[in-house]
Formats: sequence, C-alpha cells, structure tokens
Amino acid sequence: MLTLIQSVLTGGMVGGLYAIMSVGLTLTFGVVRIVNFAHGAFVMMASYLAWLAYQNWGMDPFVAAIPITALFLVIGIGFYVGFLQRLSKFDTLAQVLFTVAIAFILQGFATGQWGPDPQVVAPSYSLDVVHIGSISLPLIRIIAFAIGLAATAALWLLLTYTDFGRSVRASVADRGAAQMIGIKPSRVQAITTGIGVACAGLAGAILAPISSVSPTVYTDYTFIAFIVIILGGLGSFFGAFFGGLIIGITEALGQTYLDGGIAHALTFAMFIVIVVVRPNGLAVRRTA
Amino acid sequence: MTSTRKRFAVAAGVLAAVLAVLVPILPGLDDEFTVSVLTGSAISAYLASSWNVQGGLTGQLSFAHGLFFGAGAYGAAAFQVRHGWNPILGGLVGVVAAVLMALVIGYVCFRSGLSHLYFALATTAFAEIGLYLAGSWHFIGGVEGLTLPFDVGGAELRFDDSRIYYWIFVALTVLVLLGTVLLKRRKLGLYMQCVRENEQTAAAVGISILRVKLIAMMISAALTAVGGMLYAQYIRFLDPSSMLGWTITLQMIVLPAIIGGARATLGPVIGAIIYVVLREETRVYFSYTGASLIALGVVVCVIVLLIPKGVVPFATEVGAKFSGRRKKPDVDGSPPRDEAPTGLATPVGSGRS
Repeated sequence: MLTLIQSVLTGGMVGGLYAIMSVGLTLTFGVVRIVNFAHGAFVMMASYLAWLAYQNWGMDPFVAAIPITALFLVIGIGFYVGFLQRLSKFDTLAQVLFTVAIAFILQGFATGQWGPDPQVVAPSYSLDVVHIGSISLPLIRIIAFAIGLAATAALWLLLTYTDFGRSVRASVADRGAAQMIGIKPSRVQAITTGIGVACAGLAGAILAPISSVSPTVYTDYTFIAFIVIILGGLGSFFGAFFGGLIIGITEALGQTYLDGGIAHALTFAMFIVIVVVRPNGLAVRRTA
Repeated sequence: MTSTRKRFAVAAGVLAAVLAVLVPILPGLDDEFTVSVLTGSAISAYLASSWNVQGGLTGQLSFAHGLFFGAGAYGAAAFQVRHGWNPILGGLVGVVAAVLMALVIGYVCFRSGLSHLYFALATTAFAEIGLYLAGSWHFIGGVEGLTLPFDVGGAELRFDDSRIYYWIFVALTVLVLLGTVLLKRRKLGLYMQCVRENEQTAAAVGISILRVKLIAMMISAALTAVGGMLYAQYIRFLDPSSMLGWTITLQMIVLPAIIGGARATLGPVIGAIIYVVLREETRVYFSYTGASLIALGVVVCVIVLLIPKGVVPFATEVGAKFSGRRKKPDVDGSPPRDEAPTGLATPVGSGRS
C-alpha cells in the first residue's frame, strides 16, 4: 500500500511537468491548428541548455529555467513568424513532415554538439528526500511539481482574465468569428506559439535534473505530450493538465510493478485504447 | 495529352532502371563506399516502394512499418541463430507475422475510422510498443542485439560479394514497381486510389473501405518483411533501436517515399536515392556527427515548403511543360474533367507515373 501511494505521488509529480509540456502543445494546436512534432525536440534543447548552464557556470537548473523559458518564448515567436505562419495553410501531412524535419535538425545538432551519450544535471541536493510520515519523496520532484503547478496556474489566469487570453480562447472557439470582431489572428497565433514553445522550454529545463538528456530523448517527450493531449481532448487546457498527471502516475506505477520497457509499452497501449475508444479525450469539454 | 506524360514517365523509369543496374558494374566504380551507397539506396528504394502501396496508393500514412521490417529481419535471424533454420524459412515466419500484425493493427485503426493524424499517431504507438517489447524479448536478443553467423553460404542468403545484395534489392524494387503499375490498372488498385482521394465517395459507390485498406496494409507489410529478411543477412547485426525505432522507420522508409513523391510510382525510388546519397555524402564530407541528420532535415523542410508533392510529380510536371504541352498540368484534387471516363478515376489516373 505504501509503495502504491509512494509511486502515485512521485509519478504525479513528474506528471505535473508533463502537464505543462503538453499544455504548450495543445495551446499551439488549438490556436494555430498545427501539429507540432518538434515539440519534444524543444524540450530536449531546453534540457541541454540547463545542463550547459550547470556545467559551465554551476547554475542551478531551477534558476536557469527562468532565462531559458524567456528565450524559448522568443524562439517560439520566431518559429511562428519564420515557418508556422506559412505552414498553417498546408495539410496535416506537410505539417507533420516539416516539424519532424525540424526535430531531426535539432537532433543532429545535439548529437554533433554534445555527443550521443546521456548527460545528467546533478545539483548538490539532487539526492535529498523529504519525509512525510512514512512516505519519502525526492526534493527535486517536489520543487519541479510546484513549479509546474504554478506555471499552469499562471497560464490559466492569463487565459481567463486578460484580453490576450480572451482573444486566444476566442480564436480556439471560432476562428472566423474571432477575426470578425477584430482579433488579429497572426498576432495571437505568434504569441500563442511563443507561449507553447516556452512551456516546452520550462518543462525541459526542469526535467534536466530529474531525467538525463540525450539526442534521441525527444521522441519520448513528443509522444508523451501527444498522448497527454489526446487523453485530455485535443485543444483542452484542463484535459491536458489531468492527462499529464494520469500519464505520470501510469508510468510510475508501471515502473514500480512491471519491467521498465513493459511500463513504457503500457503508456502507448493506453494511448491506442483511448484513440480507438474515446478519440475526443476522456473529458470532452473545451476550456482553453 | 495523358500519353505524353506517360511516355515521359516510362522513359524516366527505364532510364533510372538502366542506370541503377549499370552503375555498379562500370569499371572504377566498384569501391566499397560506392557499393554501400548504392546498396543502401536500393534497400531504401525497395522499402519505400513497399510502404508506398499503403502510404501512397491508398493514402494511409503508416508509421508502423518498422514493425513489419523488424518481423522479417528478426524472423530470419532469430530462428537461424537459435535453431539453425534457413533464414528463408524463418523469414517466411516473419512475413506471416508481419501480415498478421498488419491485419490486427489495421483492423483496430480502420474500424474506428481514425483520421490521418490519428492513424499516424496510433501506428506510431504500435511501433513503440513493439520496440519496447522487443527490448525485453530474449529470443530475439533483447537490447543487446543479435549477431548473425558468418560461416554460411548463398543458400542461407549470405554472400561475400556485397554487390549481390545490391542486385537482389534492385530486382525486388523493379518487381514491386511492376506490381504497383499492374495493381493500378486492376480493380483493386483503382479502389485503393478511390479510397485515398475520397473515402465518402468511395463508400458511396460500394467500395468496402475497410477491406481495401486492410489488403493494402497487408500487401505492404508482407513486402516490407521480405525486405527485412534480406536486410538482416546484409547487415548481420540486429538490435531493436536500429531495426524498429520510429526515427529509423521514418528515415529508411517513410521520408524517402515522401521526398520523392508518394503518389508517383517512381517517387520512392528517386526519393531513396536522393536521401541515401545525401546521407552518405554528408557523412563523408563533414566530420560533424549530426551533419547527415541536419542535411536530411533541411532537405525535407525545403521540399515540404516548395514542392510539397515531392520530387517526381514536380519533375513530371516540369517535364510535361517543356515537352510542349499547352494544356495546364492538373493539380491534385482538381475537379474531374469532361473527357474522363468516370469522375472518380480522374484525379488519380491522370498520368502520374
């Protein structure tokens, strides 16, 4: 029983990061209508940047997360202006191919620059554990979860209470109507892509001390993000959040009770079941 | 007007085939590097053409072909290593396994009417499940991989002269291309193209969509598994990440087909040559480890943005323009024209080689 609670909690904490990562993907999809297969590659690049900052300047990954997130916001806007704006007129296949190709470029760059071996960020407190009763939780995961939660909450506030948020939600709900009442689609789309990529950046930087980073790790992140948002319903903000938690917990349970590879396979099996049985997600309510 | 394009396409095809066979036997071009580049191109051309029966002809973007490829390769290799079977026998087991997998995966996906994006994601998920399960399956070597014996002969598909693999794959590619051309002229091939162009219309005229899609996927899977069986003997070391991984599937099978133009019969072949030559040349000229991936990524980006239909359909159009045709080249999905026998067949049958 204790092991069960323990793995649900540790899993849920990583799930908080999956949530913020996937919220980024689902926002971009909802507003720009682009399937971004390079999302995981952005997460990977952010992890590498956090690793570089730690390696070269001894910078704490949680501190490094701030400039990295800001940088990725800018990169995301550039990504939209440079490519996605044109690409949004293309069909799904072209979008998939293009973003996959971007991911390949980043993978090639990471391999050439930092080699194929996994890199680890291990700050001094990386092995510290917090005891609550007879349950012990890694400190790093608690901090990561808190940041993930705070970022998701901030994003929710932004979407709910600001003019920008309202125009984003309007664009998700009805693009044509949004345009008609004076919402500039390209501006909203550019900033949304920026936020989406910034979410990837934040998740990547915070994942750096939790799991090692290698040039091929991005496919896992991309698929986790896709599983999460399809679980929660494509384009749904809260769906993505709870989907993240569910996937994090499933993974942790699988790793506790089953072999690591089987656990991974289980996540994908769950994905297939959901796509086939409930293609609109478990909770079909559009919020974002 | 269609005949001009057809003649152009046939001429291009014959030229490509002749070049492909002649190049490695020309004097001075038999160094190991050239042979390996050509063999790589032929393997990729075969696999991409096999994928194309489903991906191009029927329009179902499958990312699960790594599984079928792996089934053929592992079937041949594992039974050979563990039980001393002839790889052709083990390969047949693999082919049967691949067809069954295609049947199950296809049934699950097609039955629930997944859109293109969801189909691509679901097939990816199946491939990933296979990848992780293969890693913990000891019979096929697990993550440590499986090394094939060296001390066997031609009867076990093991040839010391690596050029033989090149010829085998060229021959197989020609067979698949011929098969594709013949298939396109038969009812089944026409049905496949109808399903690709418009499922609702196809269903409305009485085509069983599920059946057509399943047949396409099973044919495609069987061909891919045969490629895997031979590839195992050529490469002689198999591990899950180099056989079944998503990026491998994309790079060896799917992207070459799409670079070249999945709708054209010759597209996958040209795409494979472009891709493999690019990969190997960048590997040689740049010491930077990631150079070939970066080059591939850039080429795909450029092709998607500038000629989204792929190289071969683009070249056919350009060629048709220069050969003095006054009529405008037809665009994908253009409405049926008057002279066509049936409205349905027009957008697909009109001269794409």
